[in-house]
Amino acid sequence: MPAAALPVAQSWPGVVVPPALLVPVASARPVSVPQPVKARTMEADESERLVARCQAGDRSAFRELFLRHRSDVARLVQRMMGPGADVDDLVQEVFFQVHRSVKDFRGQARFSTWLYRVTVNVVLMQRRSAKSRPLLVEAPEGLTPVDAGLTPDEDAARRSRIAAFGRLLEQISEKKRTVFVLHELQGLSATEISEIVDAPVLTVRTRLFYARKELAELLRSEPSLAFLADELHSGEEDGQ
Amino acid sequence: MSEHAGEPKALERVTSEMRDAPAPEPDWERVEQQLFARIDADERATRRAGTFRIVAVLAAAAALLLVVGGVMRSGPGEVARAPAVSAPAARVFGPGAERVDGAGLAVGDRVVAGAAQLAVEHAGRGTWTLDPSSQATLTATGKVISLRLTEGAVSAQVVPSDEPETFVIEVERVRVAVHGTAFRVVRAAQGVEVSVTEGVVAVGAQGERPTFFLRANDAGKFSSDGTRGEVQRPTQAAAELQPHAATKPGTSAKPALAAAPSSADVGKALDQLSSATTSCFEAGSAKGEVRVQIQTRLDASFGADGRVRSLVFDPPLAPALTECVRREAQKVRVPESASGGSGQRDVLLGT
Repeated sequence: MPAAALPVAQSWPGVVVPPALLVPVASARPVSVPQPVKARTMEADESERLVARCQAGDRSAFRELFLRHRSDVARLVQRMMGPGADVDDLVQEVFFQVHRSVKDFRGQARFSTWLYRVTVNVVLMQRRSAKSRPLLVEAPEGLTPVDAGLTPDEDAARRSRIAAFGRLLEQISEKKRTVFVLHELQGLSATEISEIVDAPVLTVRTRLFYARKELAELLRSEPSLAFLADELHSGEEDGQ
Repeated sequence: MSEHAGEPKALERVTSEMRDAPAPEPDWERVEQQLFARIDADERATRRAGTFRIVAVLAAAAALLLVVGGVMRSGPGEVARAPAVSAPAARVFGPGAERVDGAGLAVGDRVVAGAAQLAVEHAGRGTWTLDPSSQATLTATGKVISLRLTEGAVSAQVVPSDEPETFVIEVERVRVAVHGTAFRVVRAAQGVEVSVTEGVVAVGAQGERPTFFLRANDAGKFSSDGTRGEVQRPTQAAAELQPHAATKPGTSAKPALAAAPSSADVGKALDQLSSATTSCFEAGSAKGEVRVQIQTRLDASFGADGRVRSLVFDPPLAPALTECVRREAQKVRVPESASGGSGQRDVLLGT
């Protein structure tokens, strides 16, 4: 799985990547590495070239698009669905829909924005379908290997907080959750999100505001997050 | 504990932790293999669509030309609210075909049967067949194949699996779920009809635990919201349960009757049935035998006359034990009502 193992910046054939972006593989976290505008533009250009080849029936170009974007799609799927989600099947469904519809992509938006829109639609359909299904088993937490920079107990606390936060996200409305995930976790701008969810930018900002507000209010219902809030508050008071 | 300024910071921290969590690592090889297999199937289906597709495309092109013409005439200012990114459109499969490869279908696709039956095959998973003039929309793929029957009737043959459920049909608010069986679902004028040829089928309202379990040769009629229904069992055991259930033709329900027995009455009857099950189980277990524990879900429905109309255990119990419970069930009653009722109870035997 070469493309998934490499930092995003290194996996673009033919793209000149600034040295600052070439982070070591072990510590690579594509989402948290901010991309300079130039690199993002080059990525977009390359994706659009691949899209043009796909539209002409070039299957290798579609495979290239799949390899290039699959990790981002998997990450968004997991963040929107929560732990225990069937990420494999949903990623497959997203790219199947992309293959069918790519000929209709006219480049009004960036390819990645369009891809996110397809992903959000697939996830929301899946969530609605799952909602009508009774929960037979508790979904496993299924979270992440131990982080190299943390002690085991710190890592366990972090996992517990992330799982608790996932449960809180489930409690806010679908629209607010979508906007929150796209902005806070995927790092998309309000303008991009407005294209993805087909809503005015102002509406996106409003949903984001209320999502944050509701999540902050809900924090107390999860002991691990309430503990974190107390800890941060007392640390703040000690510092004064 | 009172709220204080720690919440926004905690929210910021945990958001950042979630953002930095490593990305999921799906089995990419499997995803890629299955994806390209589906694409191949989709392309084959597209090629086979032949004349029907060409006509549809020509019609779509004509419609597009009209729309584009209209837009051009109306000037650029008037298209400002058009979404910048269009979502992929669902496809329509089937009219004129007899068979569709399920691998080529995506969530949201509509399958329409014309004058003949239309079978959709999901390799290794099962086949569902639409009656003539029936329609369904695929609502989930993956571990569970789910479809919404929007018109007509569908028969399904599902390959048995270890998963809790692998195939779901939804009609209105009714949900029919199975993990390996053969059955048929009809969208009727008032509600939904389900008949089972093999295995066990669970029927209930969407988002709720199943209310009814149908076995081979059972047939049921259910309300559109999936909360009420009636199961007919042409078996001897079922007939034994309702020896006096038949009402004289033309007899109307008494106006003073409640629509259904109260939940307290149903609960009491379920308690009696649960005790009867325990007694039968204990009577059937010889002393000195290896002690076993069984957990089963008892699903009982009561007729308008208050008698037990059907009794199903999921998982099923031994035939002798079931017969014993059915005999005891003839003594159990709920108050008479206009339409009868039903209820479920988990029973743990051998404690």
